[in-house]
Amino acid sequence: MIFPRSLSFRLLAGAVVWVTIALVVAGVALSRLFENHLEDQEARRFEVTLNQLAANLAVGDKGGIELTARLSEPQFQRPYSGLYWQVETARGEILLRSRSLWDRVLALPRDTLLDGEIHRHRLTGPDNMPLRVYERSVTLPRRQGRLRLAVGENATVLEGALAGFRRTLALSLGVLGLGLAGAAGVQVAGGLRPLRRLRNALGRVRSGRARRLEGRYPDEIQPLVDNLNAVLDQNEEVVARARTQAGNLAHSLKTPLAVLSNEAVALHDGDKDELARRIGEQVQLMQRRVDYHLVRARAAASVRVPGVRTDVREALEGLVRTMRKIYEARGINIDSELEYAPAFRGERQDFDEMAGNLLDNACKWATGEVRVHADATSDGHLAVWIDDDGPGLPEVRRAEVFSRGRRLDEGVAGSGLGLAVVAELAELYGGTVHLEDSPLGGVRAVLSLPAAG
Amino acid sequence: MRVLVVEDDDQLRQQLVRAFEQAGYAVDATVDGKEAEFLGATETYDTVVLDLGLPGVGGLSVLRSWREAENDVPVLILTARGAWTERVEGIDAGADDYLPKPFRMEELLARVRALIRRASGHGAAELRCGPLVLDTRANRVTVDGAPVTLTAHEYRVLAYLMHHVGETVSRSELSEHVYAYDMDRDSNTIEVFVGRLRKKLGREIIKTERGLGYRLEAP
Repeated sequence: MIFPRSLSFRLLAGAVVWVTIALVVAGVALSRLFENHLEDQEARRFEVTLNQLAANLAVGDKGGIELTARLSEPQFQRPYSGLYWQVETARGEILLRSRSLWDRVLALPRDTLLDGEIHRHRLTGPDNMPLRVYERSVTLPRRQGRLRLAVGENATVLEGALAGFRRTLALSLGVLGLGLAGAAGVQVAGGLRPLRRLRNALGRVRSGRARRLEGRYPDEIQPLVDNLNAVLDQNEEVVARARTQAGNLAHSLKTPLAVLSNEAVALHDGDKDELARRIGEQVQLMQRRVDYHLVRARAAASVRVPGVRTDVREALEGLVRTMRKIYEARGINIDSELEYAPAFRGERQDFDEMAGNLLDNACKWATGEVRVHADATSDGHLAVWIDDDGPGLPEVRRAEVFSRGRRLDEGVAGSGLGLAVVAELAELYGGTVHLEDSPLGGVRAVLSLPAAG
Repeated sequence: MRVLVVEDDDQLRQQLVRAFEQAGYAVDATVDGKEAEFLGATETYDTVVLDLGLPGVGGLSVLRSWREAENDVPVLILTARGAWTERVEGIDAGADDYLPKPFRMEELLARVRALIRRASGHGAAELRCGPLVLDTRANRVTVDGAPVTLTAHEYRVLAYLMHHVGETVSRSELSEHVYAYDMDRDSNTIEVFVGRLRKKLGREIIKTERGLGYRLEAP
């Protein structure tokens, strides 16, 4: 059986099934009750009629049976009115009958009744009309043998009333059922609303707009929310710790590397030139690898942390401030246009590393002009354009500046690792970086990253 | 020219001190943030080389306390923390330059020279005053193209005056920029250095403003 995996459906289906059962039971019971009531009433009425009939019977002078008074009900007089009476002997000889029977008789089944007992039969009367017949037997004084007294009425009267009642009952119970189902629907929707809220909150965490699940939830859900938040916090903490440890390891290596590198330079002055050069190279290489893996380890950990976002404008303003200071002596003018920059869905440090390296590179090559522009692209990404008016880079070499292997091993002081890190980080975040011609005459670096909504 | 080196690694500090001394600077060095803060506040330096990871008071708070006290001595941060976020933080705390470790000593010296030039409003690495040329990169002094040999102290006195051509510089100011902290300072010895410089460079080039100090002026 296909059972939809929907909580609303389950709750609703349960309610509908339950309501249906309850209403059907109620309907059956009510109609039964009403039917009993009608029959009781009918039986009492007929008992009265039978008694009246019995009381009015008299044995005539010739031993015949006659009616001393007409029965009060006018319907007994009108032919085929649907209300009849009949008196017959135990052997089936019909003695008297109501005028309404006209030329017909009530064909009573064979039956033996004790005195005072009332039996009920269902017969077919005139015009094939179903009849409900009540019968009792009496023994009249001065006459041998029992007489069977029968009163019958068109069954459709009672059954019609019953059917009418059942129709009304079904209609009202149906309306009640629909009302209850509607109420159940509203209740389910209302009851499940916190779950929808929770889903939206989780969505915000996933998309990086929130760090935790915000807000109060009903007591049944709050523990779940608390636990989820605890997991999120723990995750963040683990990442932070891993990052700190990686950072500490990397940083602790740097001072010894600096010492070693300076010693190598000092060796230059002696006769150990070749050795010094080799030590120097290796130190540089170690430094780059440390830097590279430091950045990479940190980024790899942080890409998965939900809910982080970086104010791009603030980050770029800080970097521009820093570049202006560092390149003050070279008189590099840095223009920026950051008003429409959307937030970046990722860590501040990683964004700083990407934009910082690109900006640093632009400042290194620029002759006097660097421009930074950040904006949202039409497909909802964050794009950062960094232009310089430097000598530019031939198209064939543009891709290789981002390649890790080449840069890592190349002996270019200071600049080697930066762009490889940018490419690596951008890729980790599902973004891209490439170089193109700049309208300023040099290189334009285009960094495209996921924006935080 | 006088620099303060704040670095907690012993080996690196010794290397730095040696390198700066060889480059003709008077050098003070300390491992401790508290002491650095005190020295920077009370002594006069032309540049401070500041490590961030110090025991006790961190480098950034030392820097911030100087800047709060409106002490605008040029500061170069020399640190293992090379991430751009940290550089931005350093520059925002008031640093003038930022050099991540490991670094090359020549680059550090070049940047310190640039900082000192910038602080005194000079753009070029070569300072000129008439026939006199001081190449800050090579610590070389020439008069009309002929090299002049100077002692370390003579060089510092001349370099300071060259950075402040046309200004009157007092003897005590000179001594502050010429001696390291632990040296026995005697402003009378400044007179001796100036005398020797006049002998080597020509009498007219350094003017004496009686009671005020010395002034370097192109003839």
